[in-house]
Amino acid sequence: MTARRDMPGSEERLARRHRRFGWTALFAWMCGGLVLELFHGFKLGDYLLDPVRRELWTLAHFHGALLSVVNLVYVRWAEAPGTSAVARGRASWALIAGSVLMPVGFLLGGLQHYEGDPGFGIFLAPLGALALLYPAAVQMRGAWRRRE
Amino acid sequence: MAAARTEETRLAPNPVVRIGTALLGALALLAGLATMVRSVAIDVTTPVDLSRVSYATSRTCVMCHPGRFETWHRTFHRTMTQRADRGAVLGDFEDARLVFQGVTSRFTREGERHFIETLSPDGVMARHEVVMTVGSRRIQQYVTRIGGRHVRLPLAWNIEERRWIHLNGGFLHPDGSDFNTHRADWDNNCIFCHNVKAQPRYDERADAFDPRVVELGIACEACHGPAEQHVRRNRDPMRRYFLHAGGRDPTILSPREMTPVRQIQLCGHCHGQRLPNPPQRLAEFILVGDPYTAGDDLGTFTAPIGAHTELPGVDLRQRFWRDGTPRLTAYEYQGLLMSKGHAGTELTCISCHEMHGGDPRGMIRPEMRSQRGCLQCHAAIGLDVRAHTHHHPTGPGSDCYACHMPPTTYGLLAIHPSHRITNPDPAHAARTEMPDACTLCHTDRTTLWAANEARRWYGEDAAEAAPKGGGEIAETVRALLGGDVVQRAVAVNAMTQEASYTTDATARLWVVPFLLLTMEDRYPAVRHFAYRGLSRLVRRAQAASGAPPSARLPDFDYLADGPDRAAAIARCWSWWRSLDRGRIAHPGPGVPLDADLMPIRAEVAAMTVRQAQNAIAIGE
Repeated sequence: MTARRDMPGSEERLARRHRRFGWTALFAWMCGGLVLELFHGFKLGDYLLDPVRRELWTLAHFHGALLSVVNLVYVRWAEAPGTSAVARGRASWALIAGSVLMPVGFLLGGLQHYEGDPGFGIFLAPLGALALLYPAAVQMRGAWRRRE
Repeated sequence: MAAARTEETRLAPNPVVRIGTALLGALALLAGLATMVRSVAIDVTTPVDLSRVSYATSRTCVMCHPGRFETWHRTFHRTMTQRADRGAVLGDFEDARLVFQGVTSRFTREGERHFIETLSPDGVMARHEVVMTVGSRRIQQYVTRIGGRHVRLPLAWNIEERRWIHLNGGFLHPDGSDFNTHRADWDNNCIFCHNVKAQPRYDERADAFDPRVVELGIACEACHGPAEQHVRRNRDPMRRYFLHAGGRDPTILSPREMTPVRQIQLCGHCHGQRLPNPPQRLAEFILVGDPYTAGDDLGTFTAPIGAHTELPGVDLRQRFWRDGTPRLTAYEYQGLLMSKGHAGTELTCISCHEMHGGDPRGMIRPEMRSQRGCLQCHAAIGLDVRAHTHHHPTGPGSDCYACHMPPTTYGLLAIHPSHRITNPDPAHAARTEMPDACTLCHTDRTTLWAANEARRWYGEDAAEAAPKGGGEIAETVRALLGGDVVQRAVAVNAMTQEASYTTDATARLWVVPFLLLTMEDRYPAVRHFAYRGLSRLVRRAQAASGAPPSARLPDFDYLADGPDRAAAIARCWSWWRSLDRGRIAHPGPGVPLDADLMPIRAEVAAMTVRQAQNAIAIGE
């Protein structure tokens, strides 16, 4: 990894952005996980007896934490050669957007839901998934490019 | 570095092109979404003829309706009819035996297969494999396949008492009835009400049935209509969320959104015995199947059986009190239609009953068994209950059901609330020889007393004048000793039910001698009521007194042979005579008991003569 003092300015900003977002989000979703454990520990019926809510909030916690880690790992890969600065910039924001939309979609979908369907908030989750596809595609494309 | 910047400059598109492309893309996306939404909007507002739709079964409902599925899954509707596997069969098939009318029936199991060996109509013992069960709450019946038809055998498992019984003792038949009186065809009888969309498919040439049902038991589509279109179309999430936002799905029925008449007919399709209408339609029922689909006008296909309905070979009048009120279960539909003031109101079955919640026993929420059920419409009465009932506002005398839906209906070895909602009128009841709500609680009182009290409280317009006579004997005692079999069953229940004119459990024991006499009844069901009621009374009295039982009530099997029953009854009389009856107050001159609380035989004999004249038999 390039030493931080040798990274170009935009790349340093990108790395800082994802470090801050990643650790903040990881902290938040880990706290969320603790809350779910408290629900289990104190047998909160509104959570335990509602299978749709349980599933969606578990998905929210898991995806939120996982995507937080992806953001932290992305710091290492963001400056992969073969990827333009513009593309890296868009991919960076798309990754952050997706990392917010997807788990929040699960969270809201479980907050108020219908008998067999999540609430309208669930529509944020596929939007987030689409947003996440962009940085993945950018990285994939960059990984297959021959190094110059 | 310079080369890279040049490349970036060459590759970076014109901002105007970029914005224009994004806008076009967004517009295309919006146009696409709008088209989809419009398509869905048209779809959900286009009516669907459900009679042409296929059924999907409850297995497909659970994917989107897990909560509704679960609340249905724990009901006795679901288990009304089941394949006879070990999970469904509740009876004791570990080489159990039942001796009835000198016939020893055996119940055995081989792995997952269950067998009943019993007397056939041709007089020989035969072993039958059980293929289906019917019932899962009070009594479970068993169906076998004989030749080209399914047959319900005349033996059943009493679930609550955990014993085998013969159905002559479950229905209202006297001793001596044929052993196979209640061996019945399932394919053209039980199939219609105990399953979804029955099709007997009778083959006249082969004299055989090839029955089909959409689903065994009473499942989702019995009430919500055929769901194949509903399932298929709602796989589209866009359609589902369009409906979540508001709107009515035309591909499925919701009973709560039906008109009151259609709601009642939905339940009445099974909870109200009917005949094909016109009668010639019977062929359609038997050859093809039940043409009714949830939501249809039930009257298009069938007519409810009433007191004046004629059916060759069956005296249907016995199923009704003389004023036409049903007195058997499975006539709740008729009862509700006859209810005072019902026509034109919003009162339906689901005003009180709950299909997806509450206690599965009765399909009713606990609060609906209390005054709250009635006060949801009759709120003004709740402001001053005592003024309306003339009883303590929270006592059994202020139980709405006790007066307006009194327990006068027989079914499955129990007495149930009447579903004809009326105002209590003792004099009218006496004239029509039916039980009246007042003396069903005040079992020590006469009709004359009850009629006079009713007119004194509610005025001469509200209640008929007392009939001539009716002032000597306590009405419930009179019905018990001289009434027909339903009257006697209702009377026993009144004497032994928990609700009573007194909270003193010991004081109620004055009825014991009459119950002991009733244990000699020639109808097994009535004997059963008498002993079961006696047991409950004694238990309550012992619990209330806190004293250990001075002597245990002897056992009694209402299905045992006559000599065995007589011996058991003799032991019960000895038990009664050995009790210290000093704490039991004499109920009054209206009850033919001497000072020692023993029956005055002459008076009793005079009443029981009339009982013999009222010999009837009531089947299903």
